[in-house]
Amino acid sequence: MRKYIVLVIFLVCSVVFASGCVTNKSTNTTQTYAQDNISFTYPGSWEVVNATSQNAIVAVANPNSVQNGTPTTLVVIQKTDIPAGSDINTIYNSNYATFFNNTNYQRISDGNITVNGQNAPENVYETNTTVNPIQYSAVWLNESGSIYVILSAAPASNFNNETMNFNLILNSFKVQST
Amino acid sequence: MAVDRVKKLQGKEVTEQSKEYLSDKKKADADILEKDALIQKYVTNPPEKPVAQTGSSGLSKGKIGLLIFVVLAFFVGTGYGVYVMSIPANNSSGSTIDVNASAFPTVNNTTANQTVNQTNTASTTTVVTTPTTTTTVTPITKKTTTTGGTTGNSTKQNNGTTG
Repeated sequence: MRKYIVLVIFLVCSVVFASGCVTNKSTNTTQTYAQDNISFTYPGSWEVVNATSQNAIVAVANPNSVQNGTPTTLVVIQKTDIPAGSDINTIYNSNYATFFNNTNYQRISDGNITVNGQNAPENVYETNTTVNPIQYSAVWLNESGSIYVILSAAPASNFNNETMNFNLILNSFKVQST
Repeated sequence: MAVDRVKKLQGKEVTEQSKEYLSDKKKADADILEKDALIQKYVTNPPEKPVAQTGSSGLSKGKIGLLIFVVLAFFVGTGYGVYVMSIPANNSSGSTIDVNASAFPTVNNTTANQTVNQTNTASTTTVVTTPTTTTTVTPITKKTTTTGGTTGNSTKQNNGTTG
């Protein structure tokens, strides 16, 4: 009888400890990016990818969303300086006045959100395609005299499901003062 | 002391100093005895409590082994978890996936070949030449008719008009 009790305890302990070693990265774990004077937390199943766009500092993407060699669920962080005598709203308005001359995109909404207590303009738009349009959300932050744009993208049909991951990055984004 | 006894046995005299020493020692012994008596009379030790006997060794070999296993499993599991959690951060660099999304309008870096159409304006210079008509009137020599002895010459010159 005593042997059975010991065996049961052994099995229970084995199951408990084994379960502690199993990780579900997509829901529980996160990773932290801390380079180029910025830092943020992003989902554990995502990867840092090669950002080739203008003024891009870094991009992270869900490798499971790759279509035709390009991820569709991603976040790109871009930086641009504020010229003397200008401000973030002026540059923002000027940017999108030009941006939507490109008929590949159509505006969905344009407003302001609060990020870490800071008012930040946000522009939401999507690709002007009938098949699998990609929705974008660009949040503009004024940090240390520069503009940091956090551009989040996902298929329009799945954008709301990725909001939690986008907010994880947005709310943890910090600029390290030099 | 031993020296004094030897001297006594030999019939020699014992010095006064030795006698004093003996009397002092007796007094000291008496004091000690008196103190012991007082202590025994007035000082009482607390009754000794019976010591609860602990069970023999308590844990069997099986239980000790199980305890060691649980402790080892805890540290091994914790260490493995920390190791696994640190792996993705190290593998995150060197990705070959390219992302070209941008919040800014695309800037074409190619220089546009601007064709400058230079219109060569033909300058027409109109030179108005005023025609000059020069009329030269050649003098007509008239025959002179001599009548009588009179000789006369008559010459007409007509200056041409410049029109």
